[in-house]
Amino acid sequence: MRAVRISGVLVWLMMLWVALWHDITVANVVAGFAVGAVVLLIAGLPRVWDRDDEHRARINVFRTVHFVGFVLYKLVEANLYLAWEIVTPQNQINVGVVAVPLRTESTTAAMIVANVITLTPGTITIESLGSPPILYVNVMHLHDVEEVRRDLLHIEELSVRAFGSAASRAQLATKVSA
Amino acid sequence: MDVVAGVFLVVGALFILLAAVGVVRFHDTFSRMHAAAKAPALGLLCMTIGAALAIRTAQATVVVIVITVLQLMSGTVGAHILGRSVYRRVRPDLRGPDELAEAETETSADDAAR
Amino acid sequence: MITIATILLSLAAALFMVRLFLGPTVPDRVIALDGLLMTILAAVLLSAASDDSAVSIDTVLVVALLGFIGTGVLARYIEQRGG
Repeated sequence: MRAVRISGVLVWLMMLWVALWHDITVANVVAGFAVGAVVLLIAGLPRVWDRDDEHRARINVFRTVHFVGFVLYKLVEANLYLAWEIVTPQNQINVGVVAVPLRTESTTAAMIVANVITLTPGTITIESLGSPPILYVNVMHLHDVEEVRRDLLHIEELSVRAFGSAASRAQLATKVSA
Repeated sequence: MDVVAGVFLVVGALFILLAAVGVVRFHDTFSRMHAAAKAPALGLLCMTIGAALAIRTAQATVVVIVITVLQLMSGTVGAHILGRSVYRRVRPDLRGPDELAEAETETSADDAAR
Repeated sequence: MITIATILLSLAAALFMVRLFLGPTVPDRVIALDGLLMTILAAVLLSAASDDSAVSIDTVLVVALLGFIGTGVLARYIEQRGG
């Protein structure tokens, strides 16, 4: 299984190399494989691939598509909100920091949620402490702390349902039902 | 198809202009960071789509997709790093509740009590 | 179409420069610099689209990655030396 994944990444790196050279020739393809192999040797194979079955990501295609659409929608909404904020002279700005305790322990999930939070309207992740990680989020219009917390935890739920590992899903299920 | 590409390019430029106006107009460092983190991300996304539609080759499309994905991730991480250092060092006064400060005083009180 | 986009981008660049001059603290200037970099990237994409050549798009990729590293380095400087 590991060999399949390594060769998959090698093919991806080769395609990247060929795309950068704008020219599909035999020399470019061979060079792509060579450079890819050197990069993998130097950078080392990521520890992600040594995960056992419980921690491997399980991708639910429909929910992933829904998640990507959700992120794009939130990004557009963030910019429209920004435009409205600039045009109207009233000042609703009440900057504060909200603690969002995540329920899953996976650092990859925390990273994805933190990045999506930065893309959603009016929120930027500032800090992440502890395990399970607690994200500290800077919010621009802070009028209702609990509502913001619930919205951001909902993002975590969507991402775990889309491509969480079995362990993450189990952790999510126990906390959500409680 | 060129008209569609042109529309995407103009819309993308508009979003970047939006970011610039936000950065100038907001009165607070954190608010300016919000404007600078989100709007250029979408603006560049639109412009890359527009550029890919104008240059209709396969290589351009592949490079454009790579640029978009990398730009989205690196933009948000950059904003996060900046926000963290601003919070720790510059300490602008926040008008609203600050839960990170509460958590930090708790942990420092724990350390002092031990 | 392209001229409209060029005018918009020039306005954006000018505004970022304003913040670069004014910004009372160093982080404000870092934000303005980051925005200026994005505007430059957008201008490169615009010129690639108008010339119908895909050659300069690779520049966008490299500048985007390096620009992000630059922002990170400046953030570390702020953390260690103060605003």
